[in-house]
Amino acid sequence: MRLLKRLSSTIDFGAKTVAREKKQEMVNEVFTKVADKYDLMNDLMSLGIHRLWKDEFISDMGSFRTSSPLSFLDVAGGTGDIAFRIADKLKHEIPVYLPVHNQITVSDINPGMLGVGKQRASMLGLNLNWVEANAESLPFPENSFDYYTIAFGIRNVTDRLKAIKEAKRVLKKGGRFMCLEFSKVNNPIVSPFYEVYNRYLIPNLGSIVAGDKDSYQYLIESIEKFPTQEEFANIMAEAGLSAIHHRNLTFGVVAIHSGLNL
Amino acid sequence: MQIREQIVSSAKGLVKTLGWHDKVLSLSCTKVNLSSASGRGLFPNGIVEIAEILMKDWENQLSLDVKLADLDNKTLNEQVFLALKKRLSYEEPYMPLWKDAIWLGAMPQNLPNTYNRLFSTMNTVWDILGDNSTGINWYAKRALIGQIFVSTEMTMIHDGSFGFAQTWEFLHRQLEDQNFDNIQDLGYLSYKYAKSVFR
Repeated sequence: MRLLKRLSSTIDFGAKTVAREKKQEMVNEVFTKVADKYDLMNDLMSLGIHRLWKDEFISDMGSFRTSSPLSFLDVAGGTGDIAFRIADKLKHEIPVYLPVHNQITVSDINPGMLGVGKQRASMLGLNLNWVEANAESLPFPENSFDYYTIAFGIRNVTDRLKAIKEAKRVLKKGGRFMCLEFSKVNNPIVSPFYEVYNRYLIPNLGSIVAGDKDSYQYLIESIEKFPTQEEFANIMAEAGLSAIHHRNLTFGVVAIHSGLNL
Repeated sequence: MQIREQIVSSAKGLVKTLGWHDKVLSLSCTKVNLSSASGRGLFPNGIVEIAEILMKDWENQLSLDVKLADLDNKTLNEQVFLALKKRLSYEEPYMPLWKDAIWLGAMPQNLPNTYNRLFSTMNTVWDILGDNSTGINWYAKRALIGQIFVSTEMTMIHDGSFGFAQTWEFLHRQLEDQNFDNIQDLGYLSYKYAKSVFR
């Protein structure tokens, strides 16, 4: 069944079904349009809770106090939320912060999102690497990163298995793949409220605040179509990652998946 | 998992000198030629998992080390003393930094696991001594011995005497107070007590 799905020439784009080659183009369009208002809309849609999710994601990464320098890759992290938090944590945990030694690379397929991130970085005075790249074929040599993070990005990738295989390739031995993404709410009390919130509130919010209802409609639909926690863990196992575990935040609205390249 | 075992044994050695912090977990990963990121990946709760693994190992070790021959011709108090002393002696290499492990184990997210391991250890102690109690006695005995064990562990942290002599004296005094030799049926005791209070 899965093989048939892979061979088919169509794929989901939110609730619609489109030709496989067209999906990337259409996703690019969505993010070019929302790039400027991305952060504002995140705050409105999640009522500011996305900051807590990202904070929890970062604290899950463990201690950065090591003798050898670490290298981080944040994929689909255009506006830099995760990268700035990593830089902050490095500054706190390592007394003498030498930006040259600890490398943070941010990659995104969309130059508009990267532009917003670069602007914010220069305002904060941070020195990071910004690379325009497709998650399915990363322009990095193998065995180059300790941490590969992707926050709210993997649901926009056409071939997720390929992206995770790429992650395994660029990670060092023992390197960690961490994914923060919207997931399935199984709690029967919370679930109906969540559905109503998604289906009726957010697209209308998008049209009022950002003047763009369709892009937010896509975002919401792509959340619904995303695999469940267990299904995504299976995809990670298929890509060859080990020690896979996942953890729900906010009743399963988002989930953190973690796997190692061993 | 073989790699997991390697990291655990590496971490067991490092915590004796470096203490209980996630950075020690990262270091033990680098010692087995893995990226330090794998620490939290394999042990989601961090370095406390090493403490829990140690407690489990000690519990198994206890049932092997306390042989029936050692328990012969001893009063129940002395037998309990022997078992608890043996169990505490396993902690000696990790003192005094073990206090950090206790502190981590007492945190709300880790407390259920710590409590389970402790209770399991106390159960093992009574199993070794051939305990046949039932009902409220079963629970009371494990709770009492648990309280004695934890308070002795606390004195052990601050103990600077040679061979932890002060700790063993403390344990001796605790057991004398508790007096397992002459213990009556605790269920009957609590009934009498309640009756006297509400007469």
